[in-house]
Amino acid sequence: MTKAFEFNNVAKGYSEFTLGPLNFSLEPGTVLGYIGPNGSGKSTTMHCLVGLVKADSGEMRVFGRPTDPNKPEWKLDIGYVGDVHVFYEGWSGEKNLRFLSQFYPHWSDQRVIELAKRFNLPLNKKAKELSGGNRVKLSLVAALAHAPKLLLLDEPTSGLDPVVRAEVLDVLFEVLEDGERAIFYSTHILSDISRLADELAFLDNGQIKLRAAKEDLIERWRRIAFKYSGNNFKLEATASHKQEGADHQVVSFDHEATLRQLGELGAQNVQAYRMSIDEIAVQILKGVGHVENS
Amino acid sequence: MLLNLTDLSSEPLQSQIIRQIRAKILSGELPAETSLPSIRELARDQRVSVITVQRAYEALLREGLIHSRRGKGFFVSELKDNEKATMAKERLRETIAPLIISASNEGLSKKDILGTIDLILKKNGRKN
Amino acid sequence: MWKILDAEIRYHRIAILGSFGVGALFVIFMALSNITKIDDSTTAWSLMSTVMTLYIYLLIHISGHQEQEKRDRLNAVLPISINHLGIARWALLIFVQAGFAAIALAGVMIANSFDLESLFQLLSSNAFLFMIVSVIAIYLELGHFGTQKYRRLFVGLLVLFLVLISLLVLSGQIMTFLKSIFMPYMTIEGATIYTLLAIGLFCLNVVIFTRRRSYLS
Repeated sequence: MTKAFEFNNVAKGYSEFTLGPLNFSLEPGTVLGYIGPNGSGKSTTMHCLVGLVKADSGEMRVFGRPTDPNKPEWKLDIGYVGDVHVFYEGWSGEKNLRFLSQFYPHWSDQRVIELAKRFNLPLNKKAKELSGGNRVKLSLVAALAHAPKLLLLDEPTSGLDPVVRAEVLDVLFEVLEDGERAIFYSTHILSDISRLADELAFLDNGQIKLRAAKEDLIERWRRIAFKYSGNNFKLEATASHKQEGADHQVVSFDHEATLRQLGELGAQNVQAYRMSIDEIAVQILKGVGHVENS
Repeated sequence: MLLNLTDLSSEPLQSQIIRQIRAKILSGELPAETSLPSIRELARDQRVSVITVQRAYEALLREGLIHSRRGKGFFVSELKDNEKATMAKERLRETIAPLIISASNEGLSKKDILGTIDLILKKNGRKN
Repeated sequence: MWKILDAEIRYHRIAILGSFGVGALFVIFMALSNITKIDDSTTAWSLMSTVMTLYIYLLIHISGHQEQEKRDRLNAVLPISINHLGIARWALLIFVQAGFAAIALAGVMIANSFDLESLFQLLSSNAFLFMIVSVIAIYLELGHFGTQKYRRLFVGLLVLFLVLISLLVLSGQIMTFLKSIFMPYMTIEGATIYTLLAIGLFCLNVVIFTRRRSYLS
């Protein structure tokens, strides 16, 4: 099946840092979580894909079509919720949506009404009167209304109360059900994607340091506690190491290797605990330099 | 299918799914040849990612608890009673091994441990 | 492209109608009161200039909105070709300018001074106006390339142009220069040249827009 999107050697240089070269793609039917510290280039990645920013080099494709600004049909497959929400401020949400609907043949007014209801979004209020959270909701409705095959979401739940956030995630799970759509989800809120994402990509300083299936990460990472009084040893595959006397606690990103090594060293009371995806993500972001690419 | 998945447990969602479906199969709640929801249906119902359900189903396939029919989906496998018993014993041994070891480390004797097991079974209305 | 123009017109409906209304009344008043009959050959120009002030006001009002509301960002994500978007952004201004030109033309007809010369005069003055707008637009567009060098180059060219003008003034040649510009104003050749120049600058403006490095305003 054609990939939902492809980045081939895409790079964009700024004075402070360079994004890329990025080489990655997304299969339809999957959710890719994009995680990284502020300023690492997450939003820029999406800006490049959606045409808001021109990359310095490389090319991108959406469902096989190159992202050519002169042949914009590829944009029909995209629903984008960006880091900034722009509307005709003097118009109501409804009028804004009606304006947008003219550009998308697959737009459904029914879907708009249904989503606005589920998200608790008043459509008759002027855009400039909407609170921050409601502006996000309007962007979400606009992005979802034409049932796009690729959703590009940049912090789509920021400013949303827990009930609406749960509704948004519900809607996204529903969208995924036919297996043909893909979601590229950039966020700081790890709990959003801890259940939703199939794969995670970690961006640091413009480079994708790690991309792995979420389940693989959960399988491989462990917190391991053990007793060992020896001194000169270096544990492989560990992201952190705490010690109090002979009590040790390490975070391992390949627990089988670490446990094997501990066995050889003769460590005592070895106990391994699974880690949640949130904990794993924090460890990866803290010391991204340590982690090998999977 | 009703499952109780929680983010609060340290047990990953994939394991929870495997464990709960296995329990339903071994207890007879899901008889042989019952059709299971498709991977995507279950993912959507339980609000988990597709890959989580996929891995869970793969594990259940490997254990021989379910099988798939091309184009038709996943079905509960036919298991003889003694096969079920063997599996249940395996699972029990795996699960309680670390508990028994730490109990023994804490100073309990074999008699203490067996006595505790007895108590548990009595309380739940089963005796053998 | 037309969808954007339609939306922009509807969005600024009140300001546009207001300006057209006031402009029309003003022009009719002037046309009927024979104020412009002092020198018939400049009827079109004087009518045009009265609506020009309104035009400039409207221009500032609209582009103020545009900037404030960052609508370039909204439009750049839509599934329209970047060329169409480049034109659509100015479609509103062209529409408004055409509207004012029509009002001025109506005024000229009401004042009974309609002749070919006034028509060419109208065309030329509109073309000049449009050229100025395009120059400003080009200056603004050149700021979206991540570096100020293009802007500086452009300003440099403009400064050069001003230097040339001042040299002409100093050498006393300024009147001949001005005559050579404004005499053709009322001829078909003049009107054509200025219109073509205006279109050329507009195309340059659109091309620069399509080559922007960023639409993030």
